Amino acid sequence: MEREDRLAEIYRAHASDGLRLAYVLTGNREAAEDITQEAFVRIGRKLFGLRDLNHARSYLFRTIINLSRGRGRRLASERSALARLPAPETPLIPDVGQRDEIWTALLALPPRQRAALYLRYYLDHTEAQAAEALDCSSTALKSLVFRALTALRTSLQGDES
Amino acid sequence: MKDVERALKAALTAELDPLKMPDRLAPIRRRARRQRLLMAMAGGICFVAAVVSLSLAATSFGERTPDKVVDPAPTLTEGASNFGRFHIMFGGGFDSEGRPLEKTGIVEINARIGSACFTAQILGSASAHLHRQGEDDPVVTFFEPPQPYRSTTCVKRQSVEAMRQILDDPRIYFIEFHSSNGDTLVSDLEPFVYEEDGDEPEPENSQNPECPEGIEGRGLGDIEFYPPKPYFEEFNLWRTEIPNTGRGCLIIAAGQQASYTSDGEDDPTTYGPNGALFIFGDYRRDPDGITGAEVPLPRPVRIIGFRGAGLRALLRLQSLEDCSTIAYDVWSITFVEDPFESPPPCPIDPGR
Repeated sequence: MEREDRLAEIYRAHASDGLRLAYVLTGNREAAEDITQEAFVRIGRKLFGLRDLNHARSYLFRTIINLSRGRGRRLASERSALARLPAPETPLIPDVGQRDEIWTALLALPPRQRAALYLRYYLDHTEAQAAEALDCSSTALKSLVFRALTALRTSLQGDES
Repeated sequence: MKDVERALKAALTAELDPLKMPDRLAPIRRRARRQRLLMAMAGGICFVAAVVSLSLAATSFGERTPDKVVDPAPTLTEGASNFGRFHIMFGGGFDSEGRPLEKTGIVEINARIGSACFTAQILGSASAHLHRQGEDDPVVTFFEPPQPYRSTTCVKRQSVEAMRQILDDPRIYFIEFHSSNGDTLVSDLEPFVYEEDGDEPEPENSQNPECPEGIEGRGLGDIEFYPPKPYFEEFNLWRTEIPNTGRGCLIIAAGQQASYTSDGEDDPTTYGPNGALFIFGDYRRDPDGITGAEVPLPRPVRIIGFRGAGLRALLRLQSLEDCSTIAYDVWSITFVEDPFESPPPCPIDPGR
């Protein structure tokens, strides 16, 4: 099969799931699309090296997680630079209302915990599949999910009280 | 915990189900193609550097060659420019506003760090030298057989004094390309005409004068970035090995890749406006090391430090705009464990 046909096949099969993962990690639709596109560029560069198309999904997810981390670091730098600037007279972004509680609590979790919850509770991955995508052991994955759920529950209870 | 799980599932479904990735295959294919090309160029540079080093080592084994004089602590003229960018042209001339009509290449001289780079599309050239008029020996050898044709290359460890002299009077120097069939192309060094007002790209000039002197990097501290220009449709590549590892190489591409979206618009997001780091790695960790990974740079920077062993290292960059420093954990930004086949390793210059 031609390289670009394979890329198109992988794109059709996994792009939307990759986008959703990136969205869970960034909380921003545009950034998620950019990160997913970047991840596919990397896959497109390496297609001949793929041993098995099944690995493309795991590779896509890991690349998206890495790219999201890099973006997080850059945003931290930008935030510290912005903090030194005088506050704008009007808000830069209009208030679009408060997000759903649980979604807000989810976005407050560390990225790997968010990714673990997405894989387990949205994609319904098995522990082994999720662990492969996150490049960790099943035990570590269980721990990630447990800590994430505990943090979510604590956050929700705190809001209620 | 079950109630949290149910609420989480509902929230994820409500938020994520409507998300669909738009069709961006065309720009992805184009960028992937360009990046493969870049990686091939980078791999070629690594390979050629190793071959040259091996050749030099073999030559010096049997006979003593004069030691190359490298100024250990170059002293540069106070206030003078240490960086110059020049067109190399073949034919053409200038338009009514004095701009060159044909721009077939760029030569850059950095006297502060003793380096020279060129980018040129001179197909079929087998060797490239920079000469001073009236002298037979080249001042700079960019490449010679048996190396293949290259469009972009940089040479380091040049005589700082020689680079200084080029910058002082570039018009008595010229670039000579020899093709494999015996043809020779010659081009003068024409000072580069900037298309943006007052936007000089010199590293020294573009820095905030209050920037403290950069900490000398261990092997990398003398590589600099500077803001690229829109004209630049190639990459500026620097290569160096990653210190303390004995393997791997770090390639830095400063320069925005010109790429276009399907509707013909510029795609400035490719690698970012300030270039990118391309880190080619440790094959023990990255089986696909030759292709490495790239990190777009958030701003024009220079490298001021590289600390650590192996790839678990910290790369420190300093902004040329406001002196702020940016640190990258090299391992975490670049490498993912992936299921790809291993290509041949990128050899390391054994002479260092």
